[in-house]
Order: sequence, then structure tokens, then C-alpha cells
Amino acid sequence: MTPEPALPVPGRSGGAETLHAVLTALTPSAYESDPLLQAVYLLVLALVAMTVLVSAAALALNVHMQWERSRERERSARWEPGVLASVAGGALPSDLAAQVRPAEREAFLLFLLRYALVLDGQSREVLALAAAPHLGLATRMLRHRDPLRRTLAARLLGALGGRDARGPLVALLTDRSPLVAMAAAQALARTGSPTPTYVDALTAALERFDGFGTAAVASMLTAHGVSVGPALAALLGDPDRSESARVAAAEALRRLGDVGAASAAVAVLGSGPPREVSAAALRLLRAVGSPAHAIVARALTSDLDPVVRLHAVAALAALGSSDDAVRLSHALGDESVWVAVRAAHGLREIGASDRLRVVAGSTHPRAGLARQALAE
Amino acid sequence: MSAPLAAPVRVLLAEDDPATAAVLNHRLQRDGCEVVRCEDGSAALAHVAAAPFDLVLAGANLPGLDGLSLLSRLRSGTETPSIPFVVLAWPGNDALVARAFALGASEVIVRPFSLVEAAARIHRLVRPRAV
Repeated sequence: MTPEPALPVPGRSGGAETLHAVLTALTPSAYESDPLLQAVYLLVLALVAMTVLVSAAALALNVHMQWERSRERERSARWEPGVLASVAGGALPSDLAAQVRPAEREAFLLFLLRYALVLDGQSREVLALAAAPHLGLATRMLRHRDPLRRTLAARLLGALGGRDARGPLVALLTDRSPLVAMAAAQALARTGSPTPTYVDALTAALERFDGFGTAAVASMLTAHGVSVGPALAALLGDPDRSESARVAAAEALRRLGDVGAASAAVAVLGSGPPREVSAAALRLLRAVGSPAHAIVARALTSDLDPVVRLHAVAALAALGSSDDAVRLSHALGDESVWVAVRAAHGLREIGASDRLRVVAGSTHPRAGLARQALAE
Repeated sequence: MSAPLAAPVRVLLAEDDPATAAVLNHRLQRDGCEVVRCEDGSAALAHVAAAPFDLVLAGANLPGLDGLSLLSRLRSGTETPSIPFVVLAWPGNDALVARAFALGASEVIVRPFSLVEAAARIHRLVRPRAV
């Protein structure tokens, strides 16, 4: 019986060759008539084909990425001298814009964005002039169905569009994607001094940013500068606004060091707000209040809520006088250990460490805590 | 006979953000400084150990050894305790700025910055021989 010719080997996979050898070693009748063996062979064939295809795709992707990187390097080498010379005042921005081919507009705007994110003042104005002929692309991108493209458009317009970009960016604050709305809010901060219209739109949109967390929203608000202070103070005092928006407003006012917001904090604390709003208002008062505001903090050191007491003790430590040492010593015995810890630090802060030493050397239940505060 | 030219101010620019490094490098070179660039704190430390510099400009978030650790190391060194040191920071981190000054930073420049103002702040710190 003549041996059956070898079946065609799909690819050079070592595993497949071995299996093929095993298969051809079998009798033809056993191999051709056994559906199980045929299925195994076809499966191996499919796997090998898939491996080849995936490898080819990976290779093509790699080549494409290298080509893209090489193009990016070529473009950077072509544009960077002009950008640096323009920024330094040694070249005209219009000369730079003329170096851009129509298909390179987006790449050029992204290139300028790198510099616009680190530069301000006249240098950024130069970049904006260079970008101006191509910014229509970013404006069109605002209508793109992909939220990431709209986010990119917001960033480009904020960094390179100047005041002219405000209209489209304000409109983007109501975008269906909160991510895009947040990008627009951040981008607005880079378009120059706030105007009442954009501040109103910005504060009205704050509830949309609840998912980003207080720190991120406060950071965004702070970027708009002290001129948004009055609007944030009004928002803080508005009981119809969400708790998170009011807390973010208070935190932004604290970071801005807006002394004028102290009266808003006092008014809020007098209105019986939710716990987190109280805590945020007390943190704000601690940062921007004066000794005249200590009376508010003093009253809240006996609040029923330990979170409010904690922040009241902290505010009193900053705003109060040595006369408040008795109250802080009392707070050292608070049922909440967190209030007690803050009171111990507060005693040091107002210069009443002697009281802390007395507690530390006694059989007071918080003597250990007092010793720890003294040691820090 | 003309007076000998003053040696250029030697600046070590340790910054990993290419755009920041490029604009500062271009500006400082245009102002007559000799700029040595690197992208991480460990390399910056090696550069300072190898040759003297008149000023160090370092990003706060450098890879390897961050800018504040680099500052701390230089301030505690015997050769470099008083070298002018400028920290380049990103916005929104007041605590970092305060810490930089506490560690002895001569200046902190927060991005985005005006290049004219940044250059003025940097030049104020170096000897006026070259700029």
C-alpha cells in the first residue's frame, strides 16, 4: 500500500506540523473516515490561520504606529523651531500657520496645545494667533458624536480660542456627557476674565459634576479665579442647590482665600444646613474668617452632630482666643475621639499647651491623646 | 583691549514635560545661558555632582528622584547648599508649593506661566554676569 501524500501544511507552526505528522502517520482510512480527527485537524488549521492573522494585524499595527511616530517627529521637527521663535517674539505666528498642510490641521492644533497648556500671557496669545486659521476644525469637532472628540475640542478651544471660544464652551456646559461639560468648564477658565453670563452658566451647571467629587469640582472652580467668589458665595447659601454643589463652592472659596465669603459661611451656618454643608462652611470660616466670627464656631462646638462639632472646634482653634481654652479643654473629653483629637491640636494652636500638659499628666481618659498631641 | 567676556550662566534644566523644557531651554539659551537638559531627578543629581551649575530648574514631579527630593538633597549637600533652585509645578497643589519653599526653594513657577515673567524670576536669582 502506497503511503498517502502528505496533507498541505498550513503555516510553519511547530505544533501544527507535529500534529500533521501524527495525522499522516495514521492510516488514510482511519484519518479520512474519522470525523473526530478531521474536526481536530480543521480546528488546528483554524487556530493556525487565526494566529497568522493576529500576528499580521499586530505587525501591521506596529508598523503603522512607528510610521505615525515618525510622522509626528517629522512634524515636530518642522514646527517646533517656529513655535519657539514665535513665542520668543522672533517670528510671526502667521508664518507658523502657513507651514501647515490641510491634512495636518488637527495635528498642528494638538502640537500647539502642548505649549498652550504650559504657557500663559503673551506667549499663549501668540499660540492662539497661530492656531486661529485652523480653529474652525475644533469648532466643528464640538458636534462630533464621540464625547472624547468633543472633550478634545473643548480643550483646544479653551487653550487656543480665547474669548471667542466662550460662546461654544458655555453651550457645551449642557452637553449630554458630563465629561464633556466638565472639560468645557475647565476650558472656560483659560479664556480670560470671567463674565457674568459665563459665571451664571457655570454655577448653574454644577450639579452635573456630582460624579467628579468635591476636590475635582473645587479645583475647576478655583481655576476661574477670585472673581467667581460672589457667585459661589451665593450658591453656598442657596438651600435649593444640591449638597455637593454647595460643598464644592465652599471648598473653592476656601482655596481661593476669599475673605468676603466669611459672611456667607456665617449666614449658612445660621440656617441649619445639612451636615456636609455645615462642615464645609466651617472649614471655609476657619480659613477666611476673623476673630469676630469665632462666636459662630463657639456655638457649634456643642452641636449634636460630631462632624459639625469637629469642624467647629477646628474653626474655633483658628479664630478664637486664649479664652477659648476652657471650651477646647472640654471638647478634649468629647464622646467622639475625632473631636477630642482636633481639640488637643486646637489647644496647641491657640497656645494653651499648658492645659494639654495638665491633662497629659493626669488620669484623664484622654491623657494619652494629650501626650500624643504634645509629642507631634 | 576689551574686557574678557563673562562666562555664561550654567543652568541645569531637569524637566520631563517636553513643551516646558523646550520653551525654557530656548528662552534661556537666547538669553545667553548655557543649558544642560535632563529628564529625571537622578540624572540631575549626577550632573550637579559632575560639574558646577549657577542655577537648577527642576520639575516637581520628575521621574526617578522628584524635584523636591532633589532640592532636599542639594540643600543638605556640602557643595550645593545655596545653589539657586527653581521648582516647576503644575497648578492646584498649594501644599507642594509651600513644601518647596519650606525645603529652601528659591522660586516656584506654576504652570501655565508667562515666559517673560518666568524668565525674569529666573534671572533675578543668578549672578548678573551673563544676562
